[in-house]
Amino acid sequence: MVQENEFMELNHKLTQLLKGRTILSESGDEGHVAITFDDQSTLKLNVAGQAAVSVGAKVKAVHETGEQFQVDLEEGSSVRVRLENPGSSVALRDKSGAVQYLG
Amino acid sequence: MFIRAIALLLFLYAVALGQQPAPILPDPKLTPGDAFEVTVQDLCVPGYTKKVRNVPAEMKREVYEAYGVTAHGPGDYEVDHLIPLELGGSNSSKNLWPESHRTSPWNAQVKDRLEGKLHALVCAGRLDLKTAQQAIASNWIEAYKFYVNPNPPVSEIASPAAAETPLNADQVWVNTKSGKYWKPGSRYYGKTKQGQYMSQEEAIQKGHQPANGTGE
Repeated sequence: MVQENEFMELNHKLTQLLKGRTILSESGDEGHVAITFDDQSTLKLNVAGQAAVSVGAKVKAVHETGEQFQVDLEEGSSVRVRLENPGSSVALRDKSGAVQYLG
Repeated sequence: MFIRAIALLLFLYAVALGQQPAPILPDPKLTPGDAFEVTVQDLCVPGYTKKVRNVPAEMKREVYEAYGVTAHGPGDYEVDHLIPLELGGSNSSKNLWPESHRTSPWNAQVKDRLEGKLHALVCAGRLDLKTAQQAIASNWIEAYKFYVNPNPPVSEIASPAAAETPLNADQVWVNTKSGKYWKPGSRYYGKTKQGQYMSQEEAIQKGHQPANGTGE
């Protein structure tokens, strides 16, 4: 299980990029999650297991420690996943497909 | 006499345990190499490597521990990306290893030259990205001999003092704290507290900018 975010490190770089973006949609299959935001950027995660994503919510912060990855939403909930390969499982690209973040 | 001899052996054993040999090649079981799902177009954009998260301190500690490096001095090692960021390497523990600055002739400075060369070849369309990744991940010394120079590097750059000498006269000095680079002959060339020499092309590829707009 993923721990609460007070035990997780703030991912400054990704928080700066994602803060304020609204989740438009979520897709994926076993091992993969793709979250599309209102600016048409897409966050792709390689995960162990599945994730429940709140469409319409706005990102507040991102926390990450080891295999634990958590997107905190302004509404109070969060998206929690276990990364399949920490350090190589998170990619954010803008609407044109250009890399914005890798980690 | 016998007790003294035993004590001496125990002392030597303890010393040997305390002095970890500097790993020259990564352990393929611990560090086989790992890369992001990126294209050549992604990599060859100036500033690409700044978009990758910094390796967390905890992960660095785990890498040293995995390699049995229990103690080291400042500047002895760096936690290196076996497949470098500029070739799409990831921050996975599968791609990290403690690379020595002190060993000679093969050390971190020499591997940096290989990384710059491979990046230039890939971005020029003269080398396939996967081939470059596999070459440096399987045996970076052999890759150096193949892509840079068949002979071992002659420059003794294993000491900090030697590392502060540019390999070529036309290399710029990058202040790695500010991200600005200085050209030869300029005021702060080789003089900032943190920095390293590299080609101007490599500095630009890594997203560094000329100091004062010109680097002079």
